Amino acid sequence: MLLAVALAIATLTACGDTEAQDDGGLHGEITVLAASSLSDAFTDLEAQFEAAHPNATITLSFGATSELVSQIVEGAPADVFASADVASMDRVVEARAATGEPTDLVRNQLTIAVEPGNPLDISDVRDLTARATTVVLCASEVPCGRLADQILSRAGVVVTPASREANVRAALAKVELGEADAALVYATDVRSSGQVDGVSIAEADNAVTTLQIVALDRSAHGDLAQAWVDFIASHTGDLVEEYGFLPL
Amino acid sequence: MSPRRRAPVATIPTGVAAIAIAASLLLFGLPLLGLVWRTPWSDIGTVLGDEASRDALRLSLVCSLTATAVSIVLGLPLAWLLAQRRFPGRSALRAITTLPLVLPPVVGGLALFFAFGRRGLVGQWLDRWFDIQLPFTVWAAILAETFVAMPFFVLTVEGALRNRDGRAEAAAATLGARPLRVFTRVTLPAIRGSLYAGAALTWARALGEFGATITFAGNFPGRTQTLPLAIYLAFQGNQPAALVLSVLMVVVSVVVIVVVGGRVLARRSSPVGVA
Repeated sequence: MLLAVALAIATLTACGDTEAQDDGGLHGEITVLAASSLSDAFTDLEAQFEAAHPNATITLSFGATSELVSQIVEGAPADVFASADVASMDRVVEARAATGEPTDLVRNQLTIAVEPGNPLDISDVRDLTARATTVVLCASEVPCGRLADQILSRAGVVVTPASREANVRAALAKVELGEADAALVYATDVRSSGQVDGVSIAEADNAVTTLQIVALDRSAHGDLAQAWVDFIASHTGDLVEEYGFLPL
Repeated sequence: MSPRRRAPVATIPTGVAAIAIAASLLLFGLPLLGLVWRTPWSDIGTVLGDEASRDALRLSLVCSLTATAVSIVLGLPLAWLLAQRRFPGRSALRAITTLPLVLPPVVGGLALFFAFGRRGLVGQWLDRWFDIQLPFTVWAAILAETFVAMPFFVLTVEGALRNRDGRAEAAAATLGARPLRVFTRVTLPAIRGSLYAGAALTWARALGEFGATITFAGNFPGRTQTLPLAIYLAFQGNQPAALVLSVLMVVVSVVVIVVVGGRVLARRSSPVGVA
């Protein structure tokens, strides 16, 4: 019954939309599922896109990439997916939720988030092994956790974290709260947080992840979904300059 | 009125009964059926044989049983106090006891940080004086579960206590029994059903606790990763494992509810607080 009402409302709104906007431009509403590391950038770009296409509505939903993948595989109604790593995008492609070729956007890398002023004087991932240091990592199930595992094994250090958080924001929050001394998070997260300091990981130890975007096959507004993908792909310069991502 | 006589309930019209059955099957039965339908039964051995799964089950049982024990020890005096007729601050005390029932558990987890965390009101002194850090430990998981689940015990028992007419207690007192003795020898045996019911509800709630635990205790396999946390994380990577663990969770919960709580509830119904 609730479902029926919701459907009726959705249909009514949809009808209203199409009648109001018969100007031949892009119109309709799409949902974009994106990695939480993209939240600041996409939120700003959404405003630009909607200003250019007044009859189009972009609904952004952010979460841990792996959680978004699970939602997409289970049939969540979404039009575009932006992934924090290639492995997660591969799962969406394997599930045949997207048949188009995913587009590489930018790259991102991890950094050590520490409390302001770096009170424990952490300068390297090897400093994270000290027993007295409370370290928080992302869980191995999520992209930032896989990246952290790669870096630590490349550096040959064994870190016993206090917690393996479900997403990168939760890991960062533990340092912001002062409950953890250090966390391995994306460089872009440290930049947008403002409440923590970042300590770069040595080039030799560091690993990078490539962010990708794709329009999903189930989209009812394929043209709008593709337009958003193209728009983002043409603004990767902004992602690099204003939000701290790495160029491809 | 003899204690065994049931309160008269009007016979339910067939239509209303049909709605009741449909509601329960659609809302509660169907999702369970869906879970059973999607579960890859052939993976059960692999998933349950995995050490991480057994750790999660063990932690879930240890933490939830400890939380239940703490809830009984601390909750019984609280329920007794709240059942007193009138005293200053009674409604305020009752309100903060009820709050965890209404609060989103993640808010509870954050609040626990600000109380017992390294920078918390009490936690900073625990850290400085005794070098004790609660967050990210099994104690944090137990504390989070107790915070969320104890109100179920307190409110169930308080309801039962308030429903007593007090005649037996008065008789015992005339015979010279002191209040504590009256409470333990007369009142508690009389509300035994509610004690079991409250404990079962508390246990069940603690077992299913997720939000406060993952916030305050974090997620570390073997230390704070209880079954609900293991399921949440498995769902992000290895879905068959998430489904098998979900079924395990359902089985454990059903055991708690039906075997421990349900039979007691059915036999000695406690009139308030459990409805």
